[in-house]
Amino acid sequence: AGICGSVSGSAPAPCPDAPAAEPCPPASAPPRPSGGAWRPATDTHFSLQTQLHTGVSFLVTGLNNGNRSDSYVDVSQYRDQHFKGNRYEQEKLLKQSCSLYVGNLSFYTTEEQVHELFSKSGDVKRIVIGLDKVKKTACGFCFVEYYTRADAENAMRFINGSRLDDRIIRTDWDAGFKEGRQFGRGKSGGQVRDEYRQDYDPARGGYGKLVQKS
Amino acid sequence: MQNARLLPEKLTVYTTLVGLLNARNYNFGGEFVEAMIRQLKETLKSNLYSEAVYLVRFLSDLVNCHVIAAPSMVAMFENFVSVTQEEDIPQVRSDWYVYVVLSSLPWVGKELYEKKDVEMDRLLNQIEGYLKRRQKTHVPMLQVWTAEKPHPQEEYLDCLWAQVQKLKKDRWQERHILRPYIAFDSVLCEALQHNLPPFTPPAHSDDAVYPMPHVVFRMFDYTDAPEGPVMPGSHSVERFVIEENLRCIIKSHWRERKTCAAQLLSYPGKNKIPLNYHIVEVIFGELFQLPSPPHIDVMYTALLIELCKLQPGSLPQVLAQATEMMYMRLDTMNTTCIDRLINWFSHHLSNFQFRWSWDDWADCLTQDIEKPKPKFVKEVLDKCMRLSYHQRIVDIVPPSFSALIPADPVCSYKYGEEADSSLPGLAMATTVGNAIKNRASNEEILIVLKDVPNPNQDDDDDGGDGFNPLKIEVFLQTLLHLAAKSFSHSFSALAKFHEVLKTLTDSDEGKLHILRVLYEFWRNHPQMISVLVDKLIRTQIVDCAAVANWIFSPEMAHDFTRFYVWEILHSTIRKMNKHVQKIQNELDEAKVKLEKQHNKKRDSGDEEDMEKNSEDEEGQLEEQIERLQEKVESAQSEQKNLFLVIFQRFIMLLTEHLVRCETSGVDLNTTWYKNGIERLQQIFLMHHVIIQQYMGTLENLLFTAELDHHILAVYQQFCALQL
Repeated sequence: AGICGSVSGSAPAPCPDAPAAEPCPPASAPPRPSGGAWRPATDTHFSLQTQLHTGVSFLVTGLNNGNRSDSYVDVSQYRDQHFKGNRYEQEKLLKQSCSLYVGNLSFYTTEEQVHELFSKSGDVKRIVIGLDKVKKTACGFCFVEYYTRADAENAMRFINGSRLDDRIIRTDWDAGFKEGRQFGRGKSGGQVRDEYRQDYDPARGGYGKLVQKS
Repeated sequence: MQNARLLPEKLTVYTTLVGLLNARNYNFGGEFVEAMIRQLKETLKSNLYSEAVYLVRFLSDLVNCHVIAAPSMVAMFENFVSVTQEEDIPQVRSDWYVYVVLSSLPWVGKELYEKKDVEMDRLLNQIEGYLKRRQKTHVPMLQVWTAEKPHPQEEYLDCLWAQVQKLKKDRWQERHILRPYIAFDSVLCEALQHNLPPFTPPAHSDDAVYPMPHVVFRMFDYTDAPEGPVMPGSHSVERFVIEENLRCIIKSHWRERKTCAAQLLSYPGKNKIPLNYHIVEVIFGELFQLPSPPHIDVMYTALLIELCKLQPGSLPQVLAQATEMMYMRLDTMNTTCIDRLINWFSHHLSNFQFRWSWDDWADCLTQDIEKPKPKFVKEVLDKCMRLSYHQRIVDIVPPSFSALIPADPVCSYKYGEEADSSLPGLAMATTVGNAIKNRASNEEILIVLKDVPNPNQDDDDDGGDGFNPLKIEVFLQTLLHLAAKSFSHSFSALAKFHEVLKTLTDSDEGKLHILRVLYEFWRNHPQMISVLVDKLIRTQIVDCAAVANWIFSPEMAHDFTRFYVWEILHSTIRKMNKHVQKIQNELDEAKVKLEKQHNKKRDSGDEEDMEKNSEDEEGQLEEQIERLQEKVESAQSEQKNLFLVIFQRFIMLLTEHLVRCETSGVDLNTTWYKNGIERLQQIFLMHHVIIQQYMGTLENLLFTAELDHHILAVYQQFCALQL
């Protein structure tokens, strides 16, 4: 028995779509009561009850933050084309994952800096710095793995889109680190995005590789 | 109610809707109210007190919409306030029932007084009596600043009472809350009202967890907003309503920082108040809330940045003004809050190229470096460096600040080239280093290390298996030196030679020594020390108690007031807590499984095969449960022991200081002491849920009446939090 972190983490169930409730009586409602009690037919009375109960549940759920939007935690459109497994398996892993891909890092950003920033949303289990396949030097991305899903979600909410080393970094769910994924997949050894980009970025080797070659 | 995303701050919109529906259909109104009462009962039973507050407020506002008859609302409030007459209840229970009544009055006070002024006066008198006699021992522990100036940090019920008193004096004229129902008054006043059924507050039970008391955070008043609308006074009900609504917005939208910022900035009625100041005050109020903020710290940093983006011409200035004010008041700020301020400020700066007018803070340079202001700046620069690199920090501060710049985080290898040739273990360090470079196995390393003499033993010892500090130093220094390049390199090294490390640190002395060696080697790189201590615990090379003992050891006295040391200690405690929780969860799961087995067996009939299999399964489960039960007990014992060690060491250290001051007639309130006593407080605050389990032991063994009253006061304030 040890104080080892567990890699478990189950994604919270996606919020069910709220069924529509109609507590308002339909336009053709009977006239308003005038002193005497108005007794509607039994089945409409029952459905009014249910609708009311639903309505009040909504109120309380809303107050309990039960149906709150959480779009920063959503998976992006990107899918790893080298993923070993079918699309269904990939989706499942992404929804449960405690691992994040981090992009747009400076080539000079260190593991220590990444650790400090990402520790703000929880205990970091592991960081794998992305490397140029040829040079074996940092090429501007990394993976951050947390012990719990909840901590990774907070990173998506509060660290994604903020700055590290003066650059806006981007985080995305990752299906899990596998040996080999720490290398850039561009032809020149770095990331694909650095093959084709036209701008000059001194923190990412200057011009894109294609531009450099021409 | 078709919009599922209901927003508590838009309460009056929904009550108006319900009012109009009730006017059209009396039965609807009746059933709605009944459903709400049912929900209220449920939330109270489920310890959902902030939700219950909104439900009661909603019901009160339904009085304004002619859905509920005022006298029946007064009756409900009377039942709530009668909780103050209950005996043997925790104070936080009666506190809550008083709070829920007072906090509804801004919405419904006027209407209730118009209909039932005699009863309301009686109610308020009862409340006043209660407020006068209730205990306020907990207050000092929850205050962000200890100073009364410029803004007193008021206990929340006291502040709310003052606000309600003022509202009453103003004849319940409240102009801030938007009341759509006023526009529909002609329709609504025709509606038949319902009486609330008599509502008895659920009785107190042992598993009830009432909200903790809190202190109202104020940092601005009308003198701070230089132009534009005036900030409502601290005892105006408008202030209360604005803060409630802003907190509601944050509670609704904290997960989506852009939306949250936009919602805050589009607060209705914003033209009549200095909204930016209110927002900044509420945000810092939450961030500094003791024991802990309502949401994760980093959320507030992210939110403030979004607010700056949306209002680049005004919000950054308010934020700078707030930062300046907090810097000025560091001398009386609670240490835990200073920690959070350091983390916020350094993280915030890292998003803005570390631009700051450091020269404005040149006053701190003339002070002793342990004083709050220079200490704050030093810790901020430490954190800024962690997010960047050493040279960057040198570049961003004026040269006059050089004394506060962190050390270059390089390692200190004692067996390097400059080492004295007579240094014990020097030759062995080279041997070990070569062995490691040549990919020696754990066994081979242990064999090499056998030749290291033990400075603690003069004669032949037990074959070199006992605690040998020199072995640990030679091996660990060399290993760490070879792996110094990055965190990952060091982690790999520790993993690769786990066996050697386990062997060397088999005793308590060994565990303590490995931490000492680690500290000596990496003393200029606190971040590295933190991550390596974390790894050593997780791989069970050291245990939590060893870390606690190390932190309180004389060797660490020099760094005792540094932030990173406390981060390590709290991280250690959290790991211990998570470990216990994990095993507890496993036990609970196994028990549930067994329960299911029993039910299956009972329901399955009498098929022989089924019974045999289920018997085996049951037997296995029961065995597993027994094992887990033992594991839980052992883990809890370790957890209790950790807290005992920590509290014991605190008591020893602080008592020593107090005795020394008394005998030499020196004022006990030194900077060191303030740090020490607040760090003790911080242990209680940050882990109050767990510590509450061990109160009995703590009181019997440690926090007894013989203790110096300064230290005992911390314990008593803590006890008062849930009384």
